[in-house]
Amino acid sequence: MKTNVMLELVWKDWRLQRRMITLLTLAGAAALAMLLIGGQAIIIGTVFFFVAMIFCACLVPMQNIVNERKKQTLAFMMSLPVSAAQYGAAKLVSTAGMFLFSWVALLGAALYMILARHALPHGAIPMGMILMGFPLIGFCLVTGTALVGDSEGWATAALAITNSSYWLVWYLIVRHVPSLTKTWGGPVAVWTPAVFKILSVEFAIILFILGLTMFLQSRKKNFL
Amino acid sequence: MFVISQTDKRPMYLQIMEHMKQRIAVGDWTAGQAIPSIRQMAADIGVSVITVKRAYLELEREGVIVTRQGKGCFVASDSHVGARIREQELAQHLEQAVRSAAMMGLSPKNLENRVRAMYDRVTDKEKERV
Amino acid sequence: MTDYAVELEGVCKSYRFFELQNIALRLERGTIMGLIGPNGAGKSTTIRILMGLVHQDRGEVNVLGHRMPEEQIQAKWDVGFASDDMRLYDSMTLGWHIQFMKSIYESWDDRYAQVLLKRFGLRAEQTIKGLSHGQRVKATLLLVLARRPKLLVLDEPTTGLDPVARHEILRELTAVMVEDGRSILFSSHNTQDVEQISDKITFIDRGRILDSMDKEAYLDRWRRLRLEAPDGVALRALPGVIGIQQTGRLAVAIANAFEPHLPNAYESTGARVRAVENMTLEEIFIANVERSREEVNA
Repeated sequence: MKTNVMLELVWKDWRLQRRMITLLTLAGAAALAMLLIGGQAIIIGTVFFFVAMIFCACLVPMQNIVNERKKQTLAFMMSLPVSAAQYGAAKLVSTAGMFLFSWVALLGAALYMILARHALPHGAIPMGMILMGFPLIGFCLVTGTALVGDSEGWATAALAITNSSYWLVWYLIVRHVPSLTKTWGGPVAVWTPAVFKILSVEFAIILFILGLTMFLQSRKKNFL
Repeated sequence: MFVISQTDKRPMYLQIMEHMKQRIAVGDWTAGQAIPSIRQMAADIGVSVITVKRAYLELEREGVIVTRQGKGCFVASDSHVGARIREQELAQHLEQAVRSAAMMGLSPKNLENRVRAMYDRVTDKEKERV
Repeated sequence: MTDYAVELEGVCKSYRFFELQNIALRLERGTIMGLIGPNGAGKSTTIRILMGLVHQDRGEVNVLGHRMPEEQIQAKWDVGFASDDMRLYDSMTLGWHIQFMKSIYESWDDRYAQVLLKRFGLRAEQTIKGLSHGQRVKATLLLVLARRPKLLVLDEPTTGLDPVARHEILRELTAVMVEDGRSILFSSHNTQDVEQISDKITFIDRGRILDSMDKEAYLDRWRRLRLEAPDGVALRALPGVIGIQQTGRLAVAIANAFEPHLPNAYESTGARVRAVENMTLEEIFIANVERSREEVNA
């Protein structure tokens, strides 16, 4: 009986947000299509691609988590036979599920563009993978803050911090790991130990944020 | 269906009792007839069960209705119930009239004259209507 | 199965500017309890603790035999909750919400839901956004009523509603009681509603329970006596009277423990009893709150 309710919650979230997710994913795919034009369009396309993904990373937690409290549907949800922990878990699953749907779709579309349609040289792949991790981490941070913080203020602060940090982090990486920029224009994808190190740091950060979120969520005493 | 009056100063249970007595007095409910259960009556009127329960208890105490365990509630099979109710009403009205008269300091003879005058007035009005 | 649908014992909860102290409350199965009190008295907090949405600092909470908040999931299967600050999903239709509830609760009675739609004047195709305040409240109640839960917990179900909508809702709530064993706990500051449909009344003010009693017995204990004092005499409050106000020769005494001999007691002091009046719950409410606040301040 219990898992049934949680599934219904996840499914319900999807039905509420699917239009937005679909639109943003299509926008990201359209940005990728621009790469085929070549020239300046490559830069514009790449930027819009990441913008679409960052939008998704911000909007999904805001619409799915923060709005539930703001629009006062939270009381309705908590009147259902679920505990705060179950609700939080279902929320995490639906939020992450929806974002990952978009993220994986866009990752797939990008790889397709590079490998099958040669829109970019293969050398761009390692750097691209590192960059794909940014919105993913940003998403985790905003989602975690939205779930635990219980207020729009906290989530918005997390949003502001992550969005303004992307550039800085990218700059720092490029600065301290010059080997990355050397090969990104080349025809071969070069997987140096540095690349793997950065990717594993990204992964660790994601796990840490998720773990901390679940821990803090389970200790909540006032649910409404 | 019976409506509780908000302007009636009497408690709800008394209003319900009066309504039920009236139904018996006018013949809607006959002697020995089954009447709605307390819960059904409460839902029909839209009031708390406890109020209807009190009304039923009082009516049973007055001998107007009877509860048969497991079977439900019925109007008392005493065929004079309707008449007895009317008697009760008259007694109440008379008591009120006498009290008012006493407060005003009227003598019994004075009160008697007034009752007679009122009786004439009322029967005249009735004749006019018919 | 316990005899009580809801049991609170020694429940305490502290907030920065408000404290719920020693709340004790018992709702017998098959009855309706009205929880009344001024704004900020603690009605909503008590209800939230009851639903397991807020954890009490101290005290025992049992709902349908389940300990709260630990067993809230089991309890909530049989409890229908609606509060006036609860909202449905604006962008979805009422029909979508009905489907949603149906997919979760096996006890959903679709036939009854259709009856309620008609009775409340609602249409399943309407989006929640397009509903008026009254329609939205009725829609929320429909979603709760059609499940036929054993216990209904309603926080201000008639607040802000027009008289017709209020009447419709009170009708449905009293109709619930035809089924033996179902219980309702509702909070309101509409004393008329509480007076009309409650079997038991619980009075709460500033985080404390003032009274928790059978409604008929409670209403019976309160009377307003209109008295006429003999020349120059100031009447005093006899046992059972909580307050007396006198201007000149006329006085009004409020009794909260009325006994049939009280008018005679006053007559024997030389006063004349002009009237003994029943009090509405609203009048009792005001007198009770004023008295309890005086006691605290004294």
